[in-house]
Formats: sequence, structure tokens, C-alpha cells
Amino acid sequence: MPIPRLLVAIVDDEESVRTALRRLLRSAGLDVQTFATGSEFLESLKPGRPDCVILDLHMPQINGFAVLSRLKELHNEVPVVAITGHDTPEARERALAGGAKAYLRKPVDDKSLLSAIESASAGSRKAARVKAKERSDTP
Amino acid sequence: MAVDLRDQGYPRNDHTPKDEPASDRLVGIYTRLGINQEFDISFVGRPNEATSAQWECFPWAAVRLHRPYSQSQFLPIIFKAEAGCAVATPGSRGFDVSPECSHMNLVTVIWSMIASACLTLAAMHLLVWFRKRTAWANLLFALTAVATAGMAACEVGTMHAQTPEEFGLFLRWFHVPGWLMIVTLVGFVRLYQRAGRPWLAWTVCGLRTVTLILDFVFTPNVNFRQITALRQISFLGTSISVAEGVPNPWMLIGHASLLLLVVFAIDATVTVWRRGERRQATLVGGSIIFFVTAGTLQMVLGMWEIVHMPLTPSLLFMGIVVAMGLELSEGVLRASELSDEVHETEARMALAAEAAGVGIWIWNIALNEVWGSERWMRMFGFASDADVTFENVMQRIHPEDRETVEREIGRALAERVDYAGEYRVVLPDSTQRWLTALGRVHPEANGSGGRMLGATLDITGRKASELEIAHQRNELAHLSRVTMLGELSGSLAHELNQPLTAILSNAQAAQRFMAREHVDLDEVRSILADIVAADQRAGEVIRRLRSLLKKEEVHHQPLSVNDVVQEVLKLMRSELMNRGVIVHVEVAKNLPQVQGDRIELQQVLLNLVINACDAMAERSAGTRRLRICTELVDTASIHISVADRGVGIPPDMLEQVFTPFYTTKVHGMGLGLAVCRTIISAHGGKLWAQSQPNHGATFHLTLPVDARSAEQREDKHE
Repeated sequence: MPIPRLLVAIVDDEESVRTALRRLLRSAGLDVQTFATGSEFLESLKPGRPDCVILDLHMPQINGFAVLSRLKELHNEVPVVAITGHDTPEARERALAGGAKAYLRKPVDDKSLLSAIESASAGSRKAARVKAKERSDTP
Repeated sequence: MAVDLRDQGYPRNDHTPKDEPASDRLVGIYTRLGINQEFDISFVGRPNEATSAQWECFPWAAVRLHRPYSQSQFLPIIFKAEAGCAVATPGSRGFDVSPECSHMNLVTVIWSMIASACLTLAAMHLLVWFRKRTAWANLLFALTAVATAGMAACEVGTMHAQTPEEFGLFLRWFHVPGWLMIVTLVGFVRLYQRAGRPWLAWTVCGLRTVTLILDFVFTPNVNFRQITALRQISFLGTSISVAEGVPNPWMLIGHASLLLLVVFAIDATVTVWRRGERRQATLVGGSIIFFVTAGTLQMVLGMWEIVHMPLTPSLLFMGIVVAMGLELSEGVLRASELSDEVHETEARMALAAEAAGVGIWIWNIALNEVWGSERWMRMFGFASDADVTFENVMQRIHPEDRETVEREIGRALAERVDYAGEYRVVLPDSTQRWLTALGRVHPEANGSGGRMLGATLDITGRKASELEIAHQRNELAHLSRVTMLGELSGSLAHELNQPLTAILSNAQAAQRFMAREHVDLDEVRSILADIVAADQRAGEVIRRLRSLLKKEEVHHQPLSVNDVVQEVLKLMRSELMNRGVIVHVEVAKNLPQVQGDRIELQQVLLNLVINACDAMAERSAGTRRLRICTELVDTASIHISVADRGVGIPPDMLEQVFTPFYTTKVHGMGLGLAVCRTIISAHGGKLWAQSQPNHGATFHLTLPVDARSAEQREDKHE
């Protein structure tokens, strides 16, 4: 059974950024979903999907920090890579404390991004595999 | 020098009475002549032979007079003497040396005085007309006076005529100045008094012209068909000639013209009187009526030989000339008084202008001559005796200011409004001065040409202070701007990082796509297009930032307030988002432009928006609302308001927030609002605050509408 490709969600209010990141991840062989707002993303959440979220912290209305809080409330452990164009130590601390697996400054380099996705999603894939095994072991 | 009359070819009278020695008769003559024989006269001829039978017949004499007695150009024979002359006339039996001849001849004296007075007056008023060609009344008066002098000359000619032919000739030529006299008199009444019926005027002139023509048609003249003899009568103690002969009935035309002239004068005088100019009516009108009537009566009575008297109209018309002269002199006198007043006023003005450091100038537009006071000439670097034209002045004005000055002066001339302007002049030694000028247009009566009068003040010192203050204000504004942008640095970085992210990620994606075996060229094209767009956006952000950060001189230009609002919102987009502030913008459409400095106005709005955000920081998310409105107020100014839902400002602090170094922020310098108010004042506007505690604060600012933009707007509406 082939290992399914990683599905990465991109949440950013700016279309140009969304499009560019989608292209980059697709070029790296990942599946990509994009969302213009935090609420759209939260509504689309399904168990085990996506494998990783690239979350812009600065968005109108529901910003990245609010999304992180909401995920915590939902006990959703989808790995989050926070990205921001407004980099401050407070934002970094708040994001990581809020549950983000990684914190990256815009503009983000492809290697840094892919490596952050990989390490963030590694745990989740392992967990997914364990969960899948548990399901298959269950008669 | 003595002249022996026998040498002149005159006949000698040999009726020498034996009973009376010549010396006794001479003593008698001398006594009557008022000559002191002992001191005043000496004989050079032979006095003993100089005797005659009658008193009136004095044969010849050669005398030497030691003091002047009289002379007359009208008497033919003159005994010239060393110190004067005695006068004799050739009589039928030798030489009549009549005592009158040697006396001051009253007729000659009076008529000569009339002629001289008239010619002097004529010369004066002719000069007035030469200087001011529109003074037609003065020209007509001068001609009237010349005509009177001519009439006087002809009259003397007739009175001293020796033969009927001579009399006839002088009388014929008398009609030439007579014609001129009447025509100019009619013209004077019409032009100066602005009265009299035109048809009467034309009739009088026409009849008089006919009379003049007939005068040269008939022989000897229009007065007489024939002059048969001359009669000697005594007039003013002088023996003068009057004619006897057959009157010419055609002269009735001349008399009719005189009668009509009287009617014309009466009619004109009534008009002038009714108009309220009673002095003029009495003086000029009254004298014309009286003297012309008297002259006409004299002509009629004399011609029809009802009375025997000489022709003396010039004596009467002299009365008219005097009246007219007095009337015109009144004007000249008033002009002279006014001239004195003007000179005094000018002197006072010059003194005041000099004391105030003001240069006075007058620009004669038609002649393109600029006269300037000494100070004004110095202000422009002209020599005090230089001939200055408008172009010379323009050349001195700084090239950057020249177009504005020319345009504003052109507008003042076209719209007949006052000119006011400030400009720089560059003097020949390359020094630069700031001047301010005020000018007023004085058009000619016909609306063309005219003059522009004005005053100019050197404001270089004031301008330097103003420029220094403006420079300091700009420095402060720049400092405030940089500080403000420092506060926004995070948001601004975000604004820049967004397009940079798009560029980098797109480019790296493209690299990866290109590394594949099958390159999707459409994808690559799309990526490149996005990179270009993102790059342009980044450039915009940098341009906006740079314009706010760079230190430049204030540059006022027509601009749209709504554009300024949008620019500020773009700059603040990220900040507003970060702070969770919801912005409502209500901008009025089709607003006229304002004159302003784009950067400074952006700075003011940025400051107000940041303050509003700060004021709402403590409010819960979702209630942080900012409202920006623009609207036109009474067509002359634009009102902009920035309202927040923050904590508000206590009433007693509403003014204090604009004072320098007043701040409620931890890191604030307290300069923001003070600088904003200075900027808006420099734009001719106002900035003030309103607040309801706990319901937020509203900052209002007004800016005057750009005059040209308002005009275009009005045109569009029309």
C-alpha cells in the first residue's frame, strides 16, 4: 500500500502569498490545500487531515493566534508551522506557546519551510501510522 | 539822428507869416506837446525858417529830442531823434505836426492793448491746448482771442485810413477775423458750455460764412456798395476817419447772423442756468449776449449812418474774451490749486513711503513706461535715471517667480482687480531680494490702456525669518514623521515581507519546476507574472516609505484629499489589522482638490489614525472602530474627520493635546499633534478635537479648496 502524500494546508489572507506557497509545496511533491481565513480552515478540519498547517499569524478578524487557540480547544493536534511578516520575540514566544511546531519569518526559504514541514509532520505521520496499525490490528 | 524832411521829397510850405516868429509858434507847440524846450529839444535845422501860416500847418523842422515821447506804427512819418521821436503826418500843404500825433494816441494805445492782451491770452491757451490736446475749449478761446486781436488791427486801420479805398480795404479784411470770432464763439458755447441748439449753431456759422464770401465778392466790401468820402471825427480825443457812402443791403445777412448768434447765446445760457451752473451762465452767457447785442446795434446804426461812430466791435468782443478767459482761468486756477495739493500729497506720500521703506511705481501701460521712486529703482537695481519698461522689470524677477507674477498681473489687468504678490528679484550683482508688491489698475475712461499704480516693500528680512521658521518646522515635522514610522516599523516590515515572500516562494517553486524533465511552461509563465506583480507591490511600499522618510522642502500642489486618505490606509493596513481595528471610510465623491504637501498631509492623517488606534488599545476586539470621513463644506473648504471609539479626551484637555511635549503615551515625545496643527495651519486650515468621554474622540481638520480646482468645478456644474 503506497504511503499517501503529505497534505499541507496553507492559511494566509494574501492570495499572492497563498499561491506562491502552494506552488512551492506542490513543486516539492506535496498536496496542498489553501484557505484565505482562519475560520475557513477551522471549518474544513477533518480527523487526520491535513498533515500539517502553514499558518500566517497576521490576518484580519481571526488571526493565527486565535486559530492556534481554537485548535487547542478542539484538541486537534495537527502540526502547525507559524509564519509571519511581522516578526517580534513576543509573537514567536506566543506562537510556540500556543502550540506551533515551528515559527518562520517571511520571506521564507524553501529549504527552511520544507524542513519545518517535514519535522513538524514527522511526529504526526508516525502517530498516524500507529493509529492506522491499531485500526488494522483491531478485528 | 536828425532827419531833414526836405530830403525825403516832401513839399515845403512857404506860407510863412511875418507877424509871428517861428520860435514863438514852436514854443506854443512844445507847450502843448509837454516838451521842455530848454532841456528836451535842440534844433538841427534852421528854426527861423520853420514857420507856417496856420497852427495846423507846420512846414518842416529838424529837431532833436532828448527823451522819448511816443511812437506809433500806424503813423507814416517819423522824425527820428536820438532819444525818441516826434511825429508828423503829411498834410495837403506840407507837414501837419499836430500835438495829438506826438501825444500818446489813445485810440492806438487802447486798440494795441486790446490786441496785445488778446494775443497774450491766445498764446497762453494755445500752449495749454498743445500740452493737452483734448482741451478744445482752450483752443477755441485762443482762436477767439486771435480773432479779436485781428479785428482790433483792422479797426485801427479803418480809423486811420487816409483814403476811402484804404478804409474799404481794412473793412473788407475786418470780416476775416470777424468770421473766425463768431465761429469759434459758437464752438466754445457748444463744447465748453455743452449747450445751444446745433441747428442754430450751424445757421449762425453758415450765414457768417456767406457774409465772408460776399465780402470778397463785392467791392469795396459787404458793408458798402461805394465809399464816397471819409469824414474826420474826434474819437477819444483823436481825429479818426469814418466812411460816408452807399450801404450794401447784403450786409443784412451778416446782421442776421449776429442776431441769430444772440438768440443762440440766450438759448444756451438758459440751458446752462437751468443746469445749475449759474456763475458760468452769468459770466460767459451774459457777456456773450450783452456784447454781441451791443456790437450788432453798433454795426447796424453805424452802417445805416444813424450815428456817426467808428467801427469798434473788438472793444466789445474784448469783453467776451475777458469773460471767457475768466471762466477758463477759473479752471486753470482750480487745476493749479489741485496741482499744489497733489504736489503736497505726493511729498507727504513720498515721505511716508520713504519712512516705511516702500517703493512707489506707476506703469503707463499704453506707453510701456514704468516710473519708480528712487527707493523702488534701488530695489530693482535700476539706475535712478534709467528708462524702465515692463520687460526690464520682468527680467529682474527670479525666473521661478516670473511666470506667476506675469500671470497675476495679467489677471489684475483683465479683471480690473488689485494685484498682490511676493516674489524674488535678482539684482545685477546677483544678490537676491524678496519683495512684496501691491498694485491697482487705473483704466482710461475709454477702458483701454490706463495705468497701474503700486507700492513695493523689501521683505527679505522677514522672508529669511519665515524661511528659517519654515525650515525648523520642516525639520520638526520630519523628526516627528520618522519617529512615527519607527512606531510602525513592524507593520511596515510586514507590508514589505508579504510581496517578498510571494517573490521568493514563486522563484524557488519555478526553480524546482525547471529541474523536472517535463517543464510546464505555462506554470512558469504564470509564476513569472506573479513575481513581477509582487515585486511592483514591494516597490510601492518602499516608495511610500521613502517619501515619508526623506527630508524634502515642502512642495504644495493641487491634490485629492481622498487619495491621501487611501494612501494612509494602505500604509496602515497591516498595523490596523494587527491592532484589530475595523475601519469605516466615508469619502465624498467629486471633491475639489486642495493645495497641499502630500507627505505632510499624509503625516497628519497617519498621526491621527495611530492616535485613534492607541486610544482604542484597551477596548475589546471587535469594538475598535475607526471612522474616516471627507466632505465639502460651503464650497470653500474640505472637512476631514477621524473618529475613534476609544477612551476619549477630557474636556479640559481638548486644547492641551496640541501643545508640544504633551503626551499620554509611554514612549511618545508629545510632538505629534503639535506638529500636525502647525502643518495644517501652514496649509491655511484648522485642526481641533471633540470628545465625549468614554465615547471616543473625533479629530476634525479643514483645508481650503484650491482656487483653480474650485473654478473648474464650477465650470463643470455650469
